[in-house]
Amino acid sequence: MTDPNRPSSTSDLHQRVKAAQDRNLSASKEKTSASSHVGSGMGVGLRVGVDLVVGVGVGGVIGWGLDWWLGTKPYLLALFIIFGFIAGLMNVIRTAKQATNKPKSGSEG
Amino acid sequence: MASPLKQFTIEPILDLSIGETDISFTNSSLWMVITALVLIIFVAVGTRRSSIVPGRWQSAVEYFYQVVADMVRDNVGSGGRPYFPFIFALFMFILFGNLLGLIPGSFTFTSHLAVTFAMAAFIFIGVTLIGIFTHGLKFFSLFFPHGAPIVSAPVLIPIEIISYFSRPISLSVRLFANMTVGHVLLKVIGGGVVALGSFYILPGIVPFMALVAITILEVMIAVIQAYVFAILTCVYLNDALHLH
Repeated sequence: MTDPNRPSSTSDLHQRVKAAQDRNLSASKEKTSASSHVGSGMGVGLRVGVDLVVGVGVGGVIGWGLDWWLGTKPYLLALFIIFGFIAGLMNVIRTAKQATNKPKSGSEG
Repeated sequence: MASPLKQFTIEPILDLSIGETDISFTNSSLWMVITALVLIIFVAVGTRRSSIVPGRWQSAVEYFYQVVADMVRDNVGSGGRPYFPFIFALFMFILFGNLLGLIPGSFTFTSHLAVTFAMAAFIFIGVTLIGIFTHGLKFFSLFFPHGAPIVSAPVLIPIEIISYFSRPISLSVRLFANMTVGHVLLKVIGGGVVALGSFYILPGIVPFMALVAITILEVMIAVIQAYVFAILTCVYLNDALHLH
């Protein structure tokens, strides 16, 4: 019963609990920061592609709708597809900015 | 071999309708109910006998709580605290839906644009209303970048409006496309395993190895997509609460 790894006395219990907690905390902290880093990196990558395509698509739909409403076929469609492309690019740039300075204050976006 | 798109067919289980509207209980609805039940059981059992030193199950629940709490705090700040329950439920529902959808023979409701767009549209409308109620007409300054010259307004405002309206679409298309593509890929390569393996055992091993790797990748994507959906909801909420 005299196993040095499992002392049964309660005298140093507090110390042992503290040591175990510290170990656990640092381990879990490392793990979460590493995994969230990988996850967010891949997440950002997946976000970017869709943003570009959808920007052009939404721009095209709005342009087409305005053309149909104002009877200016096809000029607004062309214009809004270009706007849509720019909007998609801006979304990508914003995503990239957010990814690079992650610990930002809530007031800036 | 069945078509790789057959797994996405909606089959009514219980035919229901209100007037002309078809509201049948389908396999998609069934799996949403199963997801919600699994989620409720997971969280309820984990918090039933909550102790200071958590057991395995309780730690698992607390881990998810921690992830979402950190996400809301980092992306929205303290103003996002009232919305934590919604984001937690959203994240867990999508996550469990994605993961349960990977079980062979199950149905992935997140692989339907109707489902993901309904969620994204709800978030979009909700976030816009929150922004308007918090800031009133000042909310519309979101469409004009702070400090830009007034001459650039005719160009910048349409671009910002397109950018704003593309949010629910990119949010829903991203989740739907990732889930659909992943499941089609699994089915196609799975078919390759059967076709090549029945021809001779050795060539069947190559697509089988690819299938194992892609299954792992799909589990990762299921988690990441749920995370991305939730984090973008937080980002949009932050924009509505704090403007630029």
